[in-house]
Amino acid sequence: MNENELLVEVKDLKVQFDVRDGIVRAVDGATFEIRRGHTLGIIGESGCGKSVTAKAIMQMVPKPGKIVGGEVLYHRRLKSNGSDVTEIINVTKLDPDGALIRQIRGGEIGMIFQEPMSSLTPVYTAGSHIGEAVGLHRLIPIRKVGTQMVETIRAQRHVTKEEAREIAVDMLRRVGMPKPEERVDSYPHQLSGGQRQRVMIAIALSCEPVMLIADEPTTALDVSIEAQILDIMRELQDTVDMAIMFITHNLAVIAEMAEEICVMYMGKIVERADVVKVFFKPQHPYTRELLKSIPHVGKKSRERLASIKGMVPDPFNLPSGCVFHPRCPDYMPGKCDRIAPGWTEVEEGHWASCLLYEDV
Amino acid sequence: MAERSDKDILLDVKGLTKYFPIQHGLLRRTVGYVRAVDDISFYVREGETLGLVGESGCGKTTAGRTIIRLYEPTGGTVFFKTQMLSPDGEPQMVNLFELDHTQMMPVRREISLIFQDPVGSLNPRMSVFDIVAEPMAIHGKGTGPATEETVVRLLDRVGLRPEHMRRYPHEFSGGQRQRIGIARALALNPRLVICDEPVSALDVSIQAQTLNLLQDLQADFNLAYIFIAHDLSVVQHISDRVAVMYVGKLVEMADAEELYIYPLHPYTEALMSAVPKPDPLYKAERIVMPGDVADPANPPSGCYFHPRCRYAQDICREVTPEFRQLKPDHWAACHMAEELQLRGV
Repeated sequence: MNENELLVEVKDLKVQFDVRDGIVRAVDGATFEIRRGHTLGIIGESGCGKSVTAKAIMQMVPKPGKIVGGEVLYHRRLKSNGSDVTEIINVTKLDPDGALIRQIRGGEIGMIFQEPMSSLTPVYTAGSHIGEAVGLHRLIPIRKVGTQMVETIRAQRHVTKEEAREIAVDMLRRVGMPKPEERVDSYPHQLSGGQRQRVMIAIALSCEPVMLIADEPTTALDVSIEAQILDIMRELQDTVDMAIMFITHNLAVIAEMAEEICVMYMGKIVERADVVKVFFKPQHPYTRELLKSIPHVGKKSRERLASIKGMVPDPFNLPSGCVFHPRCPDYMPGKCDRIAPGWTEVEEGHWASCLLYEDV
Repeated sequence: MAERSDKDILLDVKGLTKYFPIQHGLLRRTVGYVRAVDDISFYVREGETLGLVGESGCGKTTAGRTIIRLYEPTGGTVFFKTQMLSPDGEPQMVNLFELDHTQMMPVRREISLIFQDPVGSLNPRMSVFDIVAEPMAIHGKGTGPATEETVVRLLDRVGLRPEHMRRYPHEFSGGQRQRIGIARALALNPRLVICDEPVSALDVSIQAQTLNLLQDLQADFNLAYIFIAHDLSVVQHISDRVAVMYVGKLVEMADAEELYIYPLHPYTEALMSAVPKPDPLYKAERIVMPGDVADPANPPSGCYFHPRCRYAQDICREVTPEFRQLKPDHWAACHMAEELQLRGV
């Protein structure tokens, strides 16, 4: 890979949550890179650590979570005397409330979450250190959309209120909001779910980020609105050269959006490759099973779906060896329950973490 | 609409209508109505699955709940083939909307519900035994040792163990809780189960298990399902026939495969084009529906879909299209249905 293309390198990242019942290894040794202008998809079921990974990149893991190992290197490109200078920042070492991370978070790296008002799980607790980021990246119901956009823009860019408002209207227009000059003065509850998500995208993009972290951005939306939001994200990415980290549990959505995919299971990345390889030549048994278990529209059959046996394990009491072994169709007794798999490059650029590909 | 001679018809819904009043002011005067379900007709055959799809707010949940009179209907008839009202258990078609409370009670045993939210729909203070046995208690089937046997059998059938009976809902995962809900729904040997988004809240791998379980149970007990969901690939997978709703009205109904491949209504076509496919090489050609879903309190004139329809003509703005049979078992409400060549998935 061209060194110049690197935007974020995540190396052996470990995040733990120390709660009353024990320690949860929410992210356990994640390694991947995000390239400038490209889209990385992270796919996995609930509780697999995909959202926590994204939050760690922004140094905003909610308490009681803590980054306990590894590093997140952000290749920050700055203009100095007309030439580009790249500075490498280890985000995990930054003060979560410091000026530098606040500039990066929400400015250089934008975020959108699941539908901002109807989201069922409040990820943040009041008074946590990320309170300020919450203000920036959740819509506040009692204030006008335009006011919230203007504040975010002015926090990141040196513009006057009037200029910020112009940027806000322009961004609303670019995300396909009908009548942006009027909608800028509406309150969030006056907008539909799809329109609110457009506002969130507009807010994130108005700061001209080099990367957008999109965590289940269309999960709460109807299929026709979802399609529009995905189209908007792709079009904007083409015009502004922005990287996207797209997190979802939806295999169909990820197939459409991502160029490269990481598959996560119980805090670990189990497979990593470009999207076509993951879908057409999956190497990890978990990926294979997951792909078999979804119905395909158009291909009608009364056949049963292949389903992964058993349940997601208790995070406080993870299986020994490979965490997937109790559910794995290729389980090798005496091996998989004893040895934790490392990483194997099965084909060029196609990595899997499975003992099938190791000499053990 | 269905052939009355068709012996297999279990549920025949005609002109089902449910308006919710909009009330204003101190005297709660009614100033208008939300037409949540607006004159819809469909039927369900014994042992088959009818999928009911549409975007949020289209009235699909209200339709399901009005059928069993969880909401009192505004209009229409719902004929259901019940064995509960004649002394010899002979099946007869009765209009559920004409039954009084004492007559409705036994019929309710034959129709049950499965809900979307496996957390909210189970009482956290009740043990699994109490939850599953509750319908039996309500319908006077006692709480003796026979009940315990039945509960064990039901739990076993949905893949839970007998010892789970003494536990409480919070001790279970989402998929297991949905199984408890399914066991409860089966407690009274229903013949029709209305499943309202039963797998939407579940993870992909658990979703497949639950769909398989529903199919197995259907085969074993000859259950009919009304499967309400917004995920079009799941609906196609599980349904024999599919009905599409838009702003309180049915716009199309057909055999599942037929509907997905040869849609006759422009709304169905647009909806199908928006479904993402788990294929990275597939290039979607989406049909953009301009504007927003119409307001059911103040729907547009003529065909409700006309402001967003790319084929709309003058007639569509003026005349409400009739829901008519265009091919055998394929119904659609579109003036232009004969002329249009629509694209399926």
